[in-house]
This record gives sequence, C-alpha cells and structure tokens, in this order.
Amino acid sequence: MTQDERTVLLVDDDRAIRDTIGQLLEEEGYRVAVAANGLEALEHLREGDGGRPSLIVLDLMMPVMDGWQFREAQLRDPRLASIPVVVLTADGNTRQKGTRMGAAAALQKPIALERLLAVVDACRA
Amino acid sequence: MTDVLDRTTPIHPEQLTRSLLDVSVDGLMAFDRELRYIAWNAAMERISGLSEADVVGKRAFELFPFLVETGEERCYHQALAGETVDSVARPFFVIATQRRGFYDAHYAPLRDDVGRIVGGVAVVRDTTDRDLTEAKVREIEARFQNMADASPVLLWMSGTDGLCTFFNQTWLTFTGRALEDEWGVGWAEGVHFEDFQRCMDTYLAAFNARKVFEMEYRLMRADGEYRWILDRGTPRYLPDGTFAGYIGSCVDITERKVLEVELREAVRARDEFLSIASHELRTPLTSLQLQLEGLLRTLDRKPEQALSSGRIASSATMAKTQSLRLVTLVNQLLDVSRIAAGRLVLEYEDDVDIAAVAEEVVDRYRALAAQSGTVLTLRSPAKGVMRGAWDRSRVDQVLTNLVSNAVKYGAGKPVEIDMVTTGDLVRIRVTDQGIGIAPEARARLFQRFERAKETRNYGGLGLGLWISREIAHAMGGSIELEQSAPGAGATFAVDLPARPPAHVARSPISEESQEHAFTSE
Repeated sequence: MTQDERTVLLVDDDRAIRDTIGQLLEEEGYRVAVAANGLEALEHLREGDGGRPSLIVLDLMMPVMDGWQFREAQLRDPRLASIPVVVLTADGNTRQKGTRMGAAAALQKPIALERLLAVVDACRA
Repeated sequence: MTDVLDRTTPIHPEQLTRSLLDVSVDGLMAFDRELRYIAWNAAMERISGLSEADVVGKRAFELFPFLVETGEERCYHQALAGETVDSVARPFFVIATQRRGFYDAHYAPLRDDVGRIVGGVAVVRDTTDRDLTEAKVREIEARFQNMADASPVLLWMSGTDGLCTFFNQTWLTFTGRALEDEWGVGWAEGVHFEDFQRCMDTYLAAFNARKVFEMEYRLMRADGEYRWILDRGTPRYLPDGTFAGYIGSCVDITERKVLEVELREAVRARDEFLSIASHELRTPLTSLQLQLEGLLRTLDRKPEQALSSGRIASSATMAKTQSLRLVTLVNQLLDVSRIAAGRLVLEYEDDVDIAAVAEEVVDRYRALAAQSGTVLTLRSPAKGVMRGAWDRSRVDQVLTNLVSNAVKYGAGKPVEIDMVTTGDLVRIRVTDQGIGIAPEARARLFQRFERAKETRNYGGLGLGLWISREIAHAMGGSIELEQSAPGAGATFAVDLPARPPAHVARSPISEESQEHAFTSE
C-alpha cells in the first residue's frame, strides 16, 4: 500500500457533512474517500485499492462502529496504526477526547473552514 | 472476772431490755394477739413522732390506717400465725404527726415460756432517705421511658462498652423484634449487609473519639422491607461528667432517598439530553457553516471568475436542507416546552382525509428510504373514505415520526404502513424489519429525553416518541409498541379518534399560532 500524500479518508455518518467537507477538500486539491461509519472505514482501508490515505478525519458518534471503536481497531492493525487521525466531535471535551485517543488534532463542530483546512494540511503524514 | 461480777449489783432483766430497746437505732415494737401495741422503743418514736405512751395499748390498724391501705396488715397476721416475714420499702403515713416516709421491717412471732404465740415483734428501719431518692430515679426513668416510647423516632442507648442497652418501643415495633433480640449488638442483625461494615466503622470511630456521628443505613422493618434510616448518635455524660455511653435517634428517610435517586436520575437524563441536543444542533450547523464559508472562500480567491450557477445551486440546496433540519430540531424543542407547560393547542379541521395525510408523509420519505434500499408500502382504504376532524399537521407529525424511525432503524428492509378503521377510530400501524427494541428498553421508549441506549449513535433528540404520544393523548388517542424483538423489527400502532375529545376547544386560531416563529415551509 503506497502512501498518498493528498488523500483524505472522511468518516462521518452524516451525509451532509461528508458531502460538504468532501467537496471543500476536493476544491483544495485533495482526493477524498468517504465512509459512513468505522466499519466501512476499516473495510475501505483494508481493501487498499484506493491507496493509503495520508489522513483520516473521524467523527465519533456513529452507528454500527463508532469513532472510538474504529480507532482501537486501527491501532491494533500495524499496517494502519501510523495513519494520523483528526477527530471531529459535536459534544464538548474535544481536546480531552482527542488526547485520549492519540489523535493528531481534535475539532469541535461546527468547524470554521480555515481551521479545518489548516489542520488537515498540518496533520497529514 | 467472776469475782468482780459477783460483787456488783445484779442486773434487772427489765432494765436490760429497756436499755437494749432504747439504744437501738432501728425501731423495735411488739403487739399482742389483739393487735395492740405492747412495746415501742425510742427509735420508733423518732420515726413516727408518737411516744410509747401514745401507742401502747392502742390497736395498730386503728392508729395507723396506712397499714391496712398498703397491705402491711398481712405481715402482722403472718407473725401471729407463727411466720417470720420481711417487707421492704413500704410507705408510711402517721395521721397524728403528719410524718411520712419509707421503711423496711422484719416481723416474727412472740412466744411465751411454753412456746405459745402471744403476739408479734418487729424491727423497723426508716429508709425514707434511700427510698425517696430511688423513687425519684424510678419516676424519672418511667417518665423517660414513656417519652421514649411515645416518640415517633427510633431511640437507642448504649453503655460505656459500646453495647446497646436500651431501645424504645418505636424501635421495637419498627423491627418487630424483642428487646432481648436487639440487646448488645443484636440490632446489627437487621442492618443491610452492604451497610453493616460502614455503620460499625462509623459508630466505633465516633465512639472512641466521643464524637457526635450521623450515618445512613438500611434497616429491616418488621414486614421484611429494608428502609433507609438516618441515625444520629450523641455521647451522654453523668452529672459528674463521666462518660456513660451514647444515645441515638433514627428516622426513616426512605421516601427522601427515593426522591433523591429520582432527582439524580432526572438530572442525568437532562444532562444527557442537553449533550444530545447540542450534538444534534451542531451537525447541521457544521454543514451549513462550511457550505457558506466555502462559497465565500471561492469568491475571495477568484473574484474575477463568476461562480458557476451549478456550484451556487448545490451549496444553496445543501444549506437549505440543513436549515430545515435545524427548524425541525428547534420545533421539537419548542414542542417539548409547550407540552411540559400544558400549552399544546390542537388546530382541528373538519373533513380531513387522513389517508391522504399518510400518503403525503410516505411520499415525502420515499426518496430518503430508497437511499438505504428501503421500500415503503402504504396500505389504506381509498382516498376519501377515512374522513374526520383532525389537526392535520399534528397527525402528519406523529406519522412522520413513526415512518422516519422505521426508516432510520429499519436496516434497509421493507417498511409497511397499514391503516384500518374501526367505528370512529383509525388505527395506523408502522412495521419495520430492522434492529428492533430490546425488552428492557421498552419501558423507557416513550419517556422524555430517553431512547434505547444502543441507538445513541443513531442521532436525533430521542424526543419523537414522547412528543408523538403526548399529541396522540391530546387527540384522545393512543400510541403503543405493538410488538418487537431485537433484530426482528418493530410495529408501532397509533389509534386516533375521528373527532376531537370533548375537552378540546375547537377554536382554530389561538395565540399558539403566533408562536410558530419557525416554520418548515
């Protein structure tokens, strides 16, 4: 699996957020892959046909497999563990959650666009 | 020595007797078979205030009626019958001298030379000082016991060794146990085992430090139910300042405890609700804000290039969708506060076709359902058959809630909506084949701020079913979970009568309509 510097995997159960952030990142020149929950994200990463993303943007509260469960599974998988993660939260304690999960950054919704782009640019591997 | 004695004047037996009688600190007296006094020494005079001359030859029971009143006369008769008998702590009252007090007495028969009983003798000791003190103590104790037993609180006392020596009747009635059972540490048998060690530690620590303590524990009531008890213990001291043990009082605080638990639970539910509400409001705001910022950013960077109308249209559509989501959420919050304040007003219209309302709801959800592969099927009688007086928008709201839940939790499998009429009642069933509802989650399903735990990640305020139920009730109808099993879907059924219940005013215009600051269309 080769590292793709400009690929972001966006994991959020809210379709509108996937569409919006996806579109904005693409306008900045990123390639964007999306997943609606942690399980879809793992499947996407393990299939590997889209190349290895340089960053994962991860929502926390999602059905099927939430952000915490995804992060645990990611860290257990040596091929995936090193991909940096930016956490999106909607209900407070953002920084604390990010630190606990070993995330590169944590952003609280709603997110200012400039901040989102700066963080994504700074955190990608 | 014999010589010396021999040389003295011989002692007269009468004089000897007289001296012995008078030197005695105890009263000595004798009476004959007729119960007349025949001897009365100086000590008897001191006790009674009557001299030998006042008494000798007088009948005992005539001179001292108290002997009859207190039953002491029996001792006189027993002595005359040949018995020796003691009486202890007897009260006396001498009419002639107004002397009163207490005495102990020892009676014996008086015999002549050949052993025949000719009367009785008695030693009488004045015990007034001792007995008055004891009587006072006994009276105080009896008064305390009465007060303690009449008290609504449970009382106990322990001695200097920490062991309990007293429980009032209120305590014994509460535990249904005898004093002997509770004695020492017996009372601890009734304390809940989870609270026992903590209680003992608290008690002993306070006891050794001679400090006031307060503790809560569960104590088994006579009916076998554990009740929460608040127990306050205070060290007690004798008048001279020596430590005498502890006295404690207990009240049943079970009701207060239950309220505390309910209150904590309500606060927890509210906090969780606020967290969910915050999450739910932030999600559409995120897209909305990013869409608008994205447009501005594009304008900033390429001011010379006009934005494509396609780009503007897609952003505007997205923004509109998100603002509609916000409107729905805010309306739900408003509904909650209206319902909680009892200000839910229904706006009935005559001749509403409820099948048409259902069809609108289903049509609105077809596209969203299709995204997850869900097929929606509505089975209703022909349009126009189910007509009645309804609040169209509230019926729409209830059905929308049930259909959106079915799609959301339906796991992409078919969702069916059935409508049947029975007399004046319409029953609408919404059935999905999705994740279903665990039996333990059912009780909370229709509660405010609640939803099945495992669905926390599914989004939504968890208010829909509560609001729907309140609306259905206001319309004189009902809503229920007809059947469900985990993994096997769920059927919700709502019954709505075709005309408003008697208590609902039918004025369609109210101040409520002005409050619709947020409208979704």
